Amino acid sequence: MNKERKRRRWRKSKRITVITVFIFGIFAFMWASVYRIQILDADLYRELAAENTYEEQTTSGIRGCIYDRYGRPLAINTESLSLYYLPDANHPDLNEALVYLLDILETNGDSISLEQTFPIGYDEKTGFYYLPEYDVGSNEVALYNFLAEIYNTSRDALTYEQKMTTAEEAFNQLVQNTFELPQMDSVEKQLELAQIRYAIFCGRFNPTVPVLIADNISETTQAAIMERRSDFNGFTVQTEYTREYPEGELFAHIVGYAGHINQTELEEHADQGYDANDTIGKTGVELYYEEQLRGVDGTVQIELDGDTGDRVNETILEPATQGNSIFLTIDRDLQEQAYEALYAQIKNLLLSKITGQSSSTGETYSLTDLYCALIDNNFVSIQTIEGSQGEYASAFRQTYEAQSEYLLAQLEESILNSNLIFSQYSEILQDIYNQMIESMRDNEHLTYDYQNDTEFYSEYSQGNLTIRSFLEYCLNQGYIHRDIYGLEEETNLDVILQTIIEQEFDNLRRSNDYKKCMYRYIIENQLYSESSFLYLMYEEELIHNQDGSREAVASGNMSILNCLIQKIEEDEITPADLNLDPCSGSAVLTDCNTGEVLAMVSYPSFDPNRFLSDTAYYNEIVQDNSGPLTFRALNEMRAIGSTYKMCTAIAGLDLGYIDEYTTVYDDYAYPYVNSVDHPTCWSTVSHGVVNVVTALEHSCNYFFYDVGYRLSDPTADHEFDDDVGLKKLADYAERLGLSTQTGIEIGEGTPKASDQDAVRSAIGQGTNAFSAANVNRYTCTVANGGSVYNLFLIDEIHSADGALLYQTEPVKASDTGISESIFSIVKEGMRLVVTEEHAAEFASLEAAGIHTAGKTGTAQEAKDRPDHSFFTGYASYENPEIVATVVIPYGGGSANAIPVFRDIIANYYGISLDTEQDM
Amino acid sequence: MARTENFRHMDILVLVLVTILVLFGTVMIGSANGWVYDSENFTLDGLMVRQLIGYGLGLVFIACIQICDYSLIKIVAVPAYLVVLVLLVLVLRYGVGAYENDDVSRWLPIVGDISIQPSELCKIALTMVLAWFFDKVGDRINRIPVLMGALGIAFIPLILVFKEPDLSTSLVILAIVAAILFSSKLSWRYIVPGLVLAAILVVIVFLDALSGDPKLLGDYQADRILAWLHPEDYQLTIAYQSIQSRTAIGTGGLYGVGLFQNGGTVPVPTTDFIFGIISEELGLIGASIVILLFLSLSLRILWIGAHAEDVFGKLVCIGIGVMIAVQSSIHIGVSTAVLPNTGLPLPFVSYGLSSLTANMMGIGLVLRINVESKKNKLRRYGV
Repeated sequence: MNKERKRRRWRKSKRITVITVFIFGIFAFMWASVYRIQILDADLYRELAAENTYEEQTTSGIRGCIYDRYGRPLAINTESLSLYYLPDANHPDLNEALVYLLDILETNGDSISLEQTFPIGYDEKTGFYYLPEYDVGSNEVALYNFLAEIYNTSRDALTYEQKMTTAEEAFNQLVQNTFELPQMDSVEKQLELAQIRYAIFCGRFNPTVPVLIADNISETTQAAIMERRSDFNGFTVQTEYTREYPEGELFAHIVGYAGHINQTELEEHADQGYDANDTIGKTGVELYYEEQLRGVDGTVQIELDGDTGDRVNETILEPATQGNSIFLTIDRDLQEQAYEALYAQIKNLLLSKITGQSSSTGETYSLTDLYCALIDNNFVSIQTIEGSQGEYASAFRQTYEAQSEYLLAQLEESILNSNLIFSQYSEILQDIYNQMIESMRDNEHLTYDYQNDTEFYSEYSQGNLTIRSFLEYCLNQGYIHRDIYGLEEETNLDVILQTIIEQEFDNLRRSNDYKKCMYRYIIENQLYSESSFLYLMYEEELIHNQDGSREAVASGNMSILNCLIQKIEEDEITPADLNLDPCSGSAVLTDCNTGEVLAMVSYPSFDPNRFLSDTAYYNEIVQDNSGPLTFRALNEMRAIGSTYKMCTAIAGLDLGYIDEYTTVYDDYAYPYVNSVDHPTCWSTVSHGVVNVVTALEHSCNYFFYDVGYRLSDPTADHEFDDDVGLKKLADYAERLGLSTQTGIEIGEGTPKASDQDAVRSAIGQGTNAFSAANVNRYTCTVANGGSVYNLFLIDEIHSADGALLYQTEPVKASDTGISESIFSIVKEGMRLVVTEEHAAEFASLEAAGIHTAGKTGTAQEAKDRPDHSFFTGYASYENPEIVATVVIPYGGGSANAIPVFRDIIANYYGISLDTEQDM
Repeated sequence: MARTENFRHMDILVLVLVTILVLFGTVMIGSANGWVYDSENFTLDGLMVRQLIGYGLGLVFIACIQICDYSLIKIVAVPAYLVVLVLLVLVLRYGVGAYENDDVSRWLPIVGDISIQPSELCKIALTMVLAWFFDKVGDRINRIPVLMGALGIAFIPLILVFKEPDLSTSLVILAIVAAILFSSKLSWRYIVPGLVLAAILVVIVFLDALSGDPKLLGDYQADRILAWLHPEDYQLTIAYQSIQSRTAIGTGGLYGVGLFQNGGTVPVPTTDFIFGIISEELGLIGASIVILLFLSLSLRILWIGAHAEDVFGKLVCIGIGVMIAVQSSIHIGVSTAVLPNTGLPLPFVSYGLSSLTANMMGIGLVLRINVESKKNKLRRYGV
């Protein structure tokens, strides 16, 4: 037994011995291979390490340029150097490197330019402040996210004290704790250092994406950085091409702009080889022709010396390419003249309305109206008022402080200790209260779904309840979230209400909307003198005294209102700055036999150069209520009023409901529809007996109501069907190319033919909605006698070496199939508009031998605002070549668009008109 | 009382060797990750902290295993094996690779950023279950059905791991199985044909990889073998890592470039190529010490196995000893470009919590087996 055991153990141990030997063997083999590499071949590897290394770098592709039809530059590239930092590099002492970098930049007159917005601003007068985008009132979340970052916590975990951090405290926290920055000798330097660190910090989630530190740096800066490569580990200087738009606001909408690709765009174009440093078209031709314009990046291999790390050699692995050039059909000069004519007319219309009297329908404006408009549209911005130490701004601010505190105290007192129901509050207190509720809703301090609680809410909204009872109701229902105010435990209602009101008032005090409301109140009630506000604008250099106007006002030689009028005349204050009706417009000029666009403008516009490089300007444009970013000529869809009447006339004639001899007596109110509120003609004086030609001449609504009515197939007892008439009108709107998209290459809005009220739709009201470009295309169809052409503004595409790649051929979308004679009848009416109805306005053009024909349009959109002004027409009457359309929204009636049309036509024919009698 | 007694009989040498390897590994992980020792502002790198937490966790596992009844450990073998099988199936379904869009599934996400690597657990569980099986069958091992059963037990997880794909761990598992089979009473009449068959298989695999259109291997694995055979053709792609590592080792020389002085050229330096960092920074001297430590550890474990009282204990020790030896050798072979790039951590040294804790569980088993044989010896001699 024992012997047996021993034998077995011996046998197994023998196998373990085999394994042991095996293990010895493999370890010995591995050790030998290490020994061979480290000792026997050591020299080989030492040489390898000293050998030159290779590095691959990207060289930027060059974007194609954009030119007008005669090759005048609209979008070009300028070469510049940019400095980047790669967050992945984890520089061991970033602060030291940055301090040294700021030194280099300053010595060479360069400056930093970061893409990351730094939430804290600073100026010498006011100290630190949060930028408006991080204002508690308007964007609580953004501010709290920032505070969470600097306190290294999450947004939800912020304490109340942390949430209340002032801009200065936040900055100090950032400097001392978050980034542990060294003390700099000036606040500006300190701020720059913090901004760079913050931008790099924000790049931490995409550490392989380089963060832009400075663009447009000088070659001396580049040399200084390359000299001390080892200290600037992770920093790279790259040659970049900056897009430049020589024509600025003139082509801002058509050409659009291109800028740094953002994360969303990177993901959208994931398979097209874009990297985070690339430029991509954002709007207009730059966007829609991105594929043509784009220059593809190349790679270059750089050989670095193994010992010194110096560049020894460069080999181009893949050359960077230049994108194709695009030539537009637009004539730069016609574009400029159209823009100027449009601007001049909008300005004239606005000036003519500044009478010093206010009107509820926006017919005329008083000084107070102008002042309030300037505050509303940020011409005199809250930031300007708050950031200034000037005498007038300070006084304005003090008035605000006093009024604001006084009114808030009054409101608090009324809510807590009175039995006033809401409708008994003064107007301003109602406004303040409504703003408070709005801000509570926006911040989700109050979540009241009133649609499910109609009974209480209707009582409340009619103003029949006290505010106290409303707040109490919301508290009981849990609509107001007590925990936000730290009131979970509190039971005393008075304390609860007081706490809520005081905390919400604090939020109001930081809200821009509230401040604007208060400043307007101060202006409206003349709590701050009219002259002081004017001087404030001089003081802040929003308007200038180069014309001596300030002294003229001070000495009483000029009224304040006249001073403001003069500033508008001198373009120091523009209609867009005021955002009062009218402040916008669009104009389109095309060749009616091809559809090619010669000019297409939209006011207000913006300067894409500054838009891309200047953050303050960017914010100003984005926040501008007049909407400079919208390309109105293609995207502003409106009822087009009487310019629609050609369509109605053609439908009636072509379908045989009327002929050129059919007459109707204009009886002012059209009796057959809407027994109470009859549609009426625009003129209370009857146009008498009219036929289709004279109806077009006088733009007689009554006649076209009747056509709309007839088209709806009324039976003997005068019952008619709107849908029947609407369908016919829509059919002709489509056939004439009015209600279909124009086919333009850069994107456009969707036109809509009216689907309500056949009679009113027949004069262009109803729910008709077309852009200036839609109207222009339809007028082309009428002018050329029935061919519908697509509009186009891309003329040719050339490769970088000049070879023609593509040339646009006019596209005839359809033929209307309507007889030439019908168009002749309509054109006769349009000719009479020029020669009879508006003979005075067109006299100069007729005298110069340019015979035009066209149609005015007036469309009403809002009862308390002026009508829109339209004009569309062609030249010449005998031999139609070009069509122009002008739209001035809220321009105040039909004739007001004519001068712009007339100037555009005159410019096309190269005639200078005596335009003394514009108005 | 009996339980605390277990700790007294624990084999200190094994524990000391493991602790030296882990602590040394932690410093090297830090160095690979850019951490530098600074006596004034002493902080640990995040990876180092996690690795030390893994070590602590491993110690807890070891302690738990020590207080278990010896019979319980044998009983646990089968359920542990089954759980690992389930995890291996799950990882094929829900597993992820080390990087996003990686076309492999090796890690099984549990909660948050915690994920486990079932193939690491598999090595220990398979060792246990095979030992349990041969312990149970005793002398019947050379019967065909029994042998088939053993091979079935071994090949199910092996194939699952292979499919992840994780070629290197599959090879380690194959080595464990071979060692256990060899050291049980398997007759030479199976061993010899087995070796011949294995040799033929290796030849077929190589021919398949060289054929240009691999049918047995995935493209991924075939490419790695090709890259190993012809590194110059692949020096910017898959052989790049091995060549970078070999170059770094070469610059190390006899004394190394110095601790924390690595040139940052070694790829995946905290895991798959940590031996590259060690050899670069500490030279042949450091590399030799590491190799000696592994040699001592695996031989000590084999020695414990040779002195174990029962078949289970013996085979578990052999499996774990061979695993440590083979895995560290493959790792070193990959780092020196002697073997194809397979991506295998160096046991106890490379960063990786699954690997570290699983290996320490194995050490726990070895220690427990040693305690058991010591106790039995004492009992026999009546002390």
